[in-house]
Amino acid sequence: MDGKKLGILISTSPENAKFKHGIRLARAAIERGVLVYLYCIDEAIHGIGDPELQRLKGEGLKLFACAYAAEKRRFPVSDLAAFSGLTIVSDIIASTDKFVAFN
Amino acid sequence: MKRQVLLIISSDPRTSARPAEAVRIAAGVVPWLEVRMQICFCNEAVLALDELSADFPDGDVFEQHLPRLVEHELAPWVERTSASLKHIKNPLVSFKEVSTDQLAQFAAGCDYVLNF
Repeated sequence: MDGKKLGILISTSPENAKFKHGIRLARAAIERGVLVYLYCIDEAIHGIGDPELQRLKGEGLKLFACAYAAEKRRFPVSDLAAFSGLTIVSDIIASTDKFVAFN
Repeated sequence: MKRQVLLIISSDPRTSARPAEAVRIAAGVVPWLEVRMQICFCNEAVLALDELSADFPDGDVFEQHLPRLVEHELAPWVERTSASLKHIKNPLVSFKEVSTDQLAQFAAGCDYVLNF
């Protein structure tokens, strides 16, 4: 699986089971040598500080967060993730081998 | 070949901001011309297409972004069996009605199908 790319979009809050599912998928993919790009949007912005998510970031996960979602919720921009616009979502969908959304 | 994505929006826009977020995502992705996207409103989500949706959670998104999507030749679809279709009195944009079979066939040919 080395060199394969996986894109993940998560829009649910960190309390929602789907948020955890997205992280577990990212973990499984990274363990298999897949390059993972994970974009947190909408309520998922509240979960970018999740300890497991940050651990994965340290192991190579490319973690993005929606700048608009952060601004709308007065969520502080930080180095927990790369805050960006929807052009990144477009890039992730277009350039990864597989894309999955957890909504 | 560009990826083809179908966004199925079925949440109730009167109580959830998810339909607005889905429209915002489409409006933010389509202009980059890297991905082909089609939106289909189903069930109560159809109500987002009426001008009264301005009063829904994040309702300004529909008025702001739906016309922009149409400018990019992305007229929204509406599933014909949606019971809320008859409540659309003053649509924000023109839309196309599709049958469940048509939607299923199109979905089968897409790279990704996202549900909101």
